[in-house]
Amino acid sequence: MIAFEVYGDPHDVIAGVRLITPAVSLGSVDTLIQHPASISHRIVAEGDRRSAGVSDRLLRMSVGLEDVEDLWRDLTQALSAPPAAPLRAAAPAASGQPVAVPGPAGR
Amino acid sequence: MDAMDHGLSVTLRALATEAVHAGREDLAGLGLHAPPLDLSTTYPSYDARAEAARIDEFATTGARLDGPPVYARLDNPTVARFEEALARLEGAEAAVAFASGMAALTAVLLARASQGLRHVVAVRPLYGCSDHLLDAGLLGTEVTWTDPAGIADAIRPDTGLVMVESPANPTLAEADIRAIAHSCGSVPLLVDNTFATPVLQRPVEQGARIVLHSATKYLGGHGDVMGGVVACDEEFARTLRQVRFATGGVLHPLAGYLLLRGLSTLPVRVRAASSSAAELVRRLATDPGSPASTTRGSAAR
Repeated sequence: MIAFEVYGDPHDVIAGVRLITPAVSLGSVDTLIQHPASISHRIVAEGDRRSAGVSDRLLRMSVGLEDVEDLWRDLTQALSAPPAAPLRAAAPAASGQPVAVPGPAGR
Repeated sequence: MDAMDHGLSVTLRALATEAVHAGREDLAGLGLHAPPLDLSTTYPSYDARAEAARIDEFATTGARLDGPPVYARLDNPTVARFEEALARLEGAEAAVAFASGMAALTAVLLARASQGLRHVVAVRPLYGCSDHLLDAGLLGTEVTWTDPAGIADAIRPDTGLVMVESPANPTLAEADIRAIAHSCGSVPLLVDNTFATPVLQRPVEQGARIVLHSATKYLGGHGDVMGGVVACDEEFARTLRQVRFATGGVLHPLAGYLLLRGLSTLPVRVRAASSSAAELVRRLATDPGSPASTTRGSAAR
């Protein structure tokens, strides 16, 4: 497991991964990345979340079994990429932009 | 009960060996290689008096039934193999499986609250829905949030549980489980071990009485099975089985089968993923062009 804060918009990183799976949950054979403030910890009140160290810039990545060079290549391009429309939105969105998930979700 | 009887007689083996063989010791004697998948919801019997006696026994003690489980909400032989294996990996006497990690946590809270112990002391952060279940008091419990140093002072006469998650979701903050267990006194400490798995951390050895897993994660390992499990002593497991029987949050036998299968590769998967995670953390922390600020890796020991 890895957790890190980004200087830029964490949503751009989620939208920018191509090999890494942009999904909640963890511990799978494939690498998963998610934005806790939007998904896994969305149900926790904002103040409680932040005081527990879960900042809005934090990303959580569950490292899987892919080759580490392939993971590094995908992660660095996602961290460096300018804001872009995602290939697939997390939920239906007329604008093609990612949609914030309003309710609680998995870990 | 064959699997369990065989298991108890087995001498101490390395974790990687247990991961492959625990819960399966009787298979060769049965002439089988893969564990049988029992999908029965009910178990026929021509002797209703004997079944009544067995139900009374379960209702009184919560001990696993000898022979067919009467009805699938009491027990399932395939799920029991997963429970036996997970208990062995955690170094616990028993394990009780549930439909999800949240169903498992719910059963623990109900087990304690039903004894009049409705107060919980907990350390943030926890997984978001664990936080929510405690904070909203959905099960009639009351929570006091504290840091590890404040646990002893937060405990009251009606405190039934102290809960921590280490490494914590999602910050990967780690807690000193042994020190926290000491602070708990006679109140049982629950450690959510979903992130570390028994490959990297065995909380029972550090004084925790209850170990919680979202089995959906590393234990299953392939994103295709949802489940939860509690590893604990047999006394508390009996209460959990009674709660599971009454509230119905059972693990499906196919999920039990897949989780047992997942356990066999758990040590290999966790070590491989940890190695890659450690390398990514090293690069994120040292790459001058890296757009990540603070980085924290875990389960990389």
